[in-house]
Amino acid sequence: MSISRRDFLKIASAAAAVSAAPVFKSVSAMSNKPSAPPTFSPNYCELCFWNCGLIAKSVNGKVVKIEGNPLSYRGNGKLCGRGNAGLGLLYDPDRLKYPMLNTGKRGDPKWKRVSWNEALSFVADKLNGIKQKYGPEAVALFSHGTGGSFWKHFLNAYGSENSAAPSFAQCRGPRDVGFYLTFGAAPGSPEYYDFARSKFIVLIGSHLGENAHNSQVQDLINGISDGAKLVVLDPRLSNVASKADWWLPVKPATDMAILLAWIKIIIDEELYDKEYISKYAIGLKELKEEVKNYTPEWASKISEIPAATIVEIAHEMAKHKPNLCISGGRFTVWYGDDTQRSRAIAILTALMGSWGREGGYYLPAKGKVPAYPGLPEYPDSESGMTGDYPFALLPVTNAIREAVLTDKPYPCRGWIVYGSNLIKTMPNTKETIEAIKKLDLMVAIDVLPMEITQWADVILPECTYLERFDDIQTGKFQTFEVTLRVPGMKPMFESRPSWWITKELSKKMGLEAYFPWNDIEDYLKTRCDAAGINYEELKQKGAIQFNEKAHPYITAQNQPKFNTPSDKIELYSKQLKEHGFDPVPKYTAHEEPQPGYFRLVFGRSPLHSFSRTVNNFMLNDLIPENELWINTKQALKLGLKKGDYVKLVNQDGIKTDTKIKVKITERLREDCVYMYHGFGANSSGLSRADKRGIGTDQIITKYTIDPLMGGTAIRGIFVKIVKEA
Amino acid sequence: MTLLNMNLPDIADIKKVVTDILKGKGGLALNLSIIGIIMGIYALSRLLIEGHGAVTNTSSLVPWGVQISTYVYMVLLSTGCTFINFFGYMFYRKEYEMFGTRILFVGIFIAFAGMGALATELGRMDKMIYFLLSPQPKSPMWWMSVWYSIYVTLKLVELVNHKRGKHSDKLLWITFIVAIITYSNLGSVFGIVEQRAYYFGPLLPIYFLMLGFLTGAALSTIIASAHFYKSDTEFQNHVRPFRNSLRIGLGIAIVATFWRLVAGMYAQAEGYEIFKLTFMHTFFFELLFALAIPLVVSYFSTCQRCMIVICSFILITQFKIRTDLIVGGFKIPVFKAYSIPDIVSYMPSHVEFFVVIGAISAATFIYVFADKIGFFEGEEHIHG
Amino acid sequence: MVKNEELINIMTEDLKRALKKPADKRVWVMAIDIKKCIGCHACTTGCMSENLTPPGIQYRPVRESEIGTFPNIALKFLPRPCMQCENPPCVKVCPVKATYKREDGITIIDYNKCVGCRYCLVACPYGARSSDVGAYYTGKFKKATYEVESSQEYGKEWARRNHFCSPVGNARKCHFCIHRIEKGVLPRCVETCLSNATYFGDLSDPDSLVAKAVAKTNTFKYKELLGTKPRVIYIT
Ligand SMILES: Nc1nc2c(c(=O)[nH]1)N[C@H]1C(S)=C(S)[C@@H](COP(=O)(O)OP(=O)(O)OC[C@H]3O[C@@H](n4cnc5c(=O)[nH]c(N)nc54)[C@H](O)[C@@H]3O)O[C@H]1N2
Ligand SMILES: Nc1nc2c(c(=O)[nH]1)N[C@H]1C(S)=C(S)[C@@H](COP(=O)(O)OP(=O)(O)OC[C@H]3O[C@@H](n4cnc5c(=O)[nH]c(N)nc54)[C@H](O)[C@@H]3O)O[C@H]1N2
Ligand code: SF4
Ligand code: SF4
Ligand code: SF4
Ligand code: SF4
Ligand code: SF4
Ligand SMILES: [Mo]
Repeated sequence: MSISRRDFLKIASAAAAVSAAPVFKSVSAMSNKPSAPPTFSPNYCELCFWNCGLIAKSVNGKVVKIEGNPLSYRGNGKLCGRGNAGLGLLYDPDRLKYPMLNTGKRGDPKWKRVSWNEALSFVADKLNGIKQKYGPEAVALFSHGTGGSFWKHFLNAYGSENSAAPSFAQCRGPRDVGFYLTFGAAPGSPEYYDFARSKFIVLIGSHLGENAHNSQVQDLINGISDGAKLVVLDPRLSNVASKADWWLPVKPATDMAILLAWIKIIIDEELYDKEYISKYAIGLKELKEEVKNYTPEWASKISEIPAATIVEIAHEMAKHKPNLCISGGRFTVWYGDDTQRSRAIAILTALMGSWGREGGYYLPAKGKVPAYPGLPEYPDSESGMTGDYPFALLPVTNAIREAVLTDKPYPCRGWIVYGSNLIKTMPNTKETIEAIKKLDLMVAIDVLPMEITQWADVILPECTYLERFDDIQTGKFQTFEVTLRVPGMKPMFESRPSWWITKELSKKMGLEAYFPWNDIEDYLKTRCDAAGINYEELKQKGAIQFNEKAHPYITAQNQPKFNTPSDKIELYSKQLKEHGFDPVPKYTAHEEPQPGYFRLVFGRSPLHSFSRTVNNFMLNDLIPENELWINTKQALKLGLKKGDYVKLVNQDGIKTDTKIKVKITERLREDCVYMYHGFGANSSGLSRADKRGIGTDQIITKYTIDPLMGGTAIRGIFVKIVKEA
Repeated sequence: MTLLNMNLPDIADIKKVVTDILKGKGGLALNLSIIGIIMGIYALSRLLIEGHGAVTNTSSLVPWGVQISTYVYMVLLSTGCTFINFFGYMFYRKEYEMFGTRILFVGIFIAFAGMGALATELGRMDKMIYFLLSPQPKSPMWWMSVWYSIYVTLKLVELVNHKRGKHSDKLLWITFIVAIITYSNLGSVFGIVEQRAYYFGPLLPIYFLMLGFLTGAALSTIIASAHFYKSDTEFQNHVRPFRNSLRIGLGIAIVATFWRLVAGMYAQAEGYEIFKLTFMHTFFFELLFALAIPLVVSYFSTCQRCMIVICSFILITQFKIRTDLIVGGFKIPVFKAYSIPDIVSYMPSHVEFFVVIGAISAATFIYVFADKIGFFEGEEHIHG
Repeated sequence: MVKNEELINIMTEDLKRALKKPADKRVWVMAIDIKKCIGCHACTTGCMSENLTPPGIQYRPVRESEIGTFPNIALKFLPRPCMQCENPPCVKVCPVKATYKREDGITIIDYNKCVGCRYCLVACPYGARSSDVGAYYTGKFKKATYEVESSQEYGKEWARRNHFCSPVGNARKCHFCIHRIEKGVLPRCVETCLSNATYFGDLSDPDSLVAKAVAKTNTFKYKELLGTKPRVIYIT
């Protein structure tokens, strides 16, 4: 990051200032009056969780434009296709405007507009009631998004540790745990993939470019255009696969076979980084023994990738070690053995010696912004629910859902759902709904009338990221980054930021000691002071990086620490064995589709984030609904034409209630169909998105749980196509 | 009444017709056209208040729709009338003369109505003044404004002449030539657009001219046939020039359409697939149904009513064909992304249809009204 | 090779240098490296938000096309701004000279003059022009702030609600972000491109990055055979 940073304010205001000199020679500028001078406030994007830095330009107290903040590590002055459309959320007329109480039923709501006072009193009463009847641990928080930190703080103060996030058990949990078991650390978010300096990159799934995680896409392209070779395993020619030197259209659910074959080849031919392994790793012998049967020919039969290709790539990887990155991906809840698959990737990474090496996985910078000083201790409480999953790093969303239904390990009766559309996010919606029905309290804090809000007793409308301050955010990458969100305008309607909502709620519940600050800026400034950061500078720049805290690569002075039981990289994991799991990943065959059925494969639209952007008027204008991708040959067999609308029926006979448009393509294997996740909205309040396309959630009635950490694997869904006029 | 040496109907006659209309006794044609005009005004006001985006189905993909095709069609009719007028005077003066003023009159007001339809298609009618202030001589569309102004002026002069009881063959010739230029210029508006295969080509202006002749013939035949005749012989006698023009018109239209189709089918360049795409339609609808059938029928059925039916049929089908031509240029999008389809379809909105109805009604109203107040009376024998 | 993240800085310097030259000596070109373009559409929405384009109008859509059959299949992305043709068919057809080439080669539309005849839309071979029919994303009556905000195109204020200085009714298209480049800021699509696949600058300056980028590699121009002489160059 050695680039000379531009003075963004100067540039941004130059771009914005309206010239008085007419551009046109012809007609007078009679009515082109320049508007009031603009103001600029730094912020970061919340259309996904990458949180790229941006600058909001406001005129007359309204945000009129957002642009990337060049000082941001996660964005480098760029916003992705979604981020650029932030105003499509800010000014969505469908937004939640007032606190509302549900006077009807959950799922069939009748909304009554109430004051904040009334809404928060309602919540406080219910929370107190649950605490008395079941204890505070009976309340759980599901949160996904920046404002969630205040809710987590609130919940801890209330006495519950059940703060869960779908980003663990529905997303990257298996990867994090797989790496944790191997290296004693997860690959982080933004991940520590050093693509920009890689000589060789392997992506397993990871459809970067469509998965538009900003700086990661930038790094990847930097790496490739600097000459890095690229391998992509994907049953579909993803955008990035089209840039690959080797695209391996692997049969879905068989990646593990290839990974194991690679491990075998590399060990057998002694292609691994010997010095690195002997210095930092244990278990090579056991590993060698365990993988001995995984020949390339065997893997080839399973994965439908030629053995020669598998061997060739193994050799290529070895040639470029240690400057190669075998990416752990991100969305990894695929087939139920996902932690083990991630372990296989981690093991390969270790064999290549690329953890802590240039072009591999860099070592994250250190740094810390201390918590607000002088807060009272949180009350003692039951530990959070992680189910029977010994390696869960966080409370597990689905364990909480189960607890509601079974009262095990203890009852759960209150849900606070912050910025997560659980109805679409967690597999098997029926189970989610059953759990919600049993609750004493269901609160949704959201910005839009999403599906989840229709199941709430009370809706607390949060203002969008462009209208609020949030907690200080830190990031440990190749630099230590501290970022701040500064509102570009006052909250519209009666929406309020989470810091305000939690503080007001705390007053009603006698928890105000945990919220002693006068207002948010007081809070932020105090935290900055404690960390030795100049608050005013941060407020002006939005992002400050502390490069001195970064030591990304292993050197004689900069030795890695592995937070595993053995303090070494564990190629063979004793702790797994002790818990009755495979100490080294093994191949498990997964269920295959019956004849006439396709495997449902899904991913991201580059222009949408899950369900949260489907109603965004700018993005909806470009991609209003998802399409069902199907291979040309299969389409021909089924008599499908481009643009036909079809429904899907899954292996359990569940039929989608909405329709999806057919897209015929050569980019996909014949044994699967593909679609973007997040569509098929089912909430009449979403005027643009409602009922458009199919939501993967409509057919994901079945899931497999990763026994190590509780992740819900959802790629074992098989569907039949039914034509509907 | 005489005004500026023109022989015009008396105020009393006009008053009478107006009171008739107000009493609802204007007759079917007038009443219908008044309803049509009201529809047109409604359409215009919605266009002005809500904007094109809200009420029309044209778009960036189909920038020109039925409003433009109405314009093209109506000026095509006008040109056709000028041709018929010219040929009538040149070759059949005796039989034709009594219709001269009518055809001239129709030619003028139908062009005005067409231009009205065109104006409603402009995104910013309020800026039309720039045609004067900021001319672009490279643009066929600018020349179109020039030539149509000249053309309409000439025709108006001719009309005034007629009303003064004079007729000048010299002016007839000039108008004829200007009409050719004007209308082929309109053809070139489309013909120069290299990217639109369906339009592009030096032959398009000629094709336009040929079809212009046909529709002009059809319209004037209706006008001539709608007249009162003492006997069928008299009718046959008077309608002969029109029927002959009509047959010639159909003949050349068939030839022109055929060769355009053949040329289009042979072309290989990008965008020309539109000809293959529309082949069946062009062949069966445009060639056989809309042209060949009326040609054949016109030999067997020659009664007064038959002629009106045949010609109405031609006018209606030609309107559809004009619209297909305009819209055909946009069927295959020049650039495809997001939800832009492989083949663009376009169906006019009701407001667009109302504009069409309004324009046709306005022209009809003026003609019928003029007829009722006796504008064309005493014009049967004008000598040059 | 120059590191990608520095490209923006280099091009900004190039731009400032070019601005010191008289306008008629600048040859603005855009070069788009389709090897690098990953089809993220950031340029598309970046431009939409920069120019407050109404629904259905993108100045820079990205076309995706697949060539071949599974598994021997290639995927190509083609971002398409206005080509700023040196011989632009759109200019010739405009009856009122509302669209014309500036001396620096950028074809612009004078919203004050354009009568909205859409002839230029018919004539542009690239589909680069759109008609602003006055549509709103958020409905006819309850227009969101975004919808009525002034766009800054051509360095002026074009408020949509003000009939006399609004682009409603007019043709619209990419203008190489004149309002930015004249202030020494790169076009929005260039700045926001996740792959740094878009270069911009003065081709007549041999030291500029864009000149070097197109000199070194294989390039093509879109529909070049039409003789339009595009100033957008694709690198393959
Ligand atoms: N635009 C956009 N970007 C996003 C997001 C978004 O919503 N929108 N969300 C972000 C988040 S939170 C996440 S977790 C990530 C998710 O994005 P990734 O981590 O990239 O998700 P993956 O599931 O790895 O990648 C999806 C690809 O996997 C392929 N695939 C399916 N089954 C298999 C298989 O069995 N084997 C292999 N090798 N490939 C398979 C699919 O064809 C598809 O191309 O995206 C992030 N980026
Ligand atoms: N079937 C299926 N399920 C999946 C996935 C999949 O690909 N397929 N992907 C999984 C992955 S990787 C992830 S990370 C999760 C994502 O799961 P979620 O985070 O639940 O996904 P979203 O659909 O983005 O829902 C976000 C919710 O937050 C609201 N929101 C947006 N901005 C704000 C804000 O500023 N404040 C507040 N309070 N609310 C806000 C939105 O309106 C929406 O209701 O989903 C997982 N579930
Ligand atoms: S990657 Fe895109 S959507 Fe996500 S935070 Fe960054 S700009 Fe926003
Ligand atoms: S691309 Fe189209 S709009 Fe742009 S200059 Fe060329 S012809 Fe004109
Ligand atoms: S729409 Fe405007 S810019 Fe285009 S040709 Fe017509 S007047 Fe000229
Ligand atoms: S140069 Fe400006 S106007 Fe043109 S496509 Fe890029 S962002 Fe849009
Ligand atoms: S932003 Fe760049 S990489 Fe993304 S689609 Fe546009 S040109 Fe391609
Ligand atoms: Mo995720």
